[in-house]
Amino acid sequence: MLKNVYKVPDGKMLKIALEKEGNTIGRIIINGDFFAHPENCIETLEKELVGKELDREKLMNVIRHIVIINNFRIFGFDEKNLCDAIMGCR
Amino acid sequence: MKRFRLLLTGHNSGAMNMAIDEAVMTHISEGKVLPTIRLYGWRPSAITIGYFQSMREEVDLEKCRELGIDFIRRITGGGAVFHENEATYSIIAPENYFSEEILESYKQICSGITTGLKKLGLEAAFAPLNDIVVKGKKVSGNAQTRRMNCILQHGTVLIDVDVKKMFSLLIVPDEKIRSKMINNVEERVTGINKETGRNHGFQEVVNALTDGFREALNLELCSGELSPSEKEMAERLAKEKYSKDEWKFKR
Repeated sequence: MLKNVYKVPDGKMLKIALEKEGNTIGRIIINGDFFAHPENCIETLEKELVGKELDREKLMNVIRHIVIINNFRIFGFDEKNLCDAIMGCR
Repeated sequence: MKRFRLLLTGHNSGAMNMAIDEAVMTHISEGKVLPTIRLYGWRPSAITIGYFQSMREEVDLEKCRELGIDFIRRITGGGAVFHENEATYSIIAPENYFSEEILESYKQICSGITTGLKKLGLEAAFAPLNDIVVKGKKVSGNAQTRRMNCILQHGTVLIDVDVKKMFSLLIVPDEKIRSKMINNVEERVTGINKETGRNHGFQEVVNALTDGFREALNLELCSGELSPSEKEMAERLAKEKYSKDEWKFKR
């Protein structure tokens, strides 16, 4: 399991655990002290990200799309921060 | 002017405190009880973690067990909080009582706290997203969720802060960082007593916050108690949800 503890500039803390499958996401856990409404949106994100390519641009678009179509409201990080946190997993 | 129930539930365990919030929210969503402002404390002292945090990553469980401190997951986001010498509030109402915008609704509800703190002689200000500060230092943290067409916001108003004790209960990356983190938090967080130079009791702070909410939110507050059905649900949730490892270690 790869991990990253990422302090969002002017935001909250993201604690990511990532299992890679080749160059895609096999499994991901997004923890932290952020706020997200509705709360189950993080579980949705974690599920939707499985199988997605670990490519910064593509991942950012995928996250943005999931957030917009589901009308998720997240405070403490944005899609770029989440992307940076995921891509920084070691 | 809106009618709210004022609920003073005293000091309870962490599981019971979170269970009461959920039971009240469920009953409000079903229109069975009035929107509610609740003021309370924690006995024993407790660490609560945010909904998205990992209990094992954040909390030193052995240390908590040794000191008899509860560790509990909230249904709200945000960070780990050590609840000891503080007054805690919950405000629970149909979602349309407050702004649909989350930031704006924090601001609305937090105006009750800043008004209450002014009654104790403190110049308190809302600091987005979810803090209240006195002279730039955090004195209150707040967290909100929206479920069942209701808004629930709960938060803590620190009377006295023991940052060293708090950090002894939290997992830190390594021991060298611990003292640095303690210094950092001691510089950024304060309690009412330190700021006024007086020794405020729990009840005095509760009264000030009650007046603050009444005034700032223009409420008619009716003293009340948990209904038998709320009480029964709270007891069940405390036992079957909030005390269970399945919930505590959910993430």
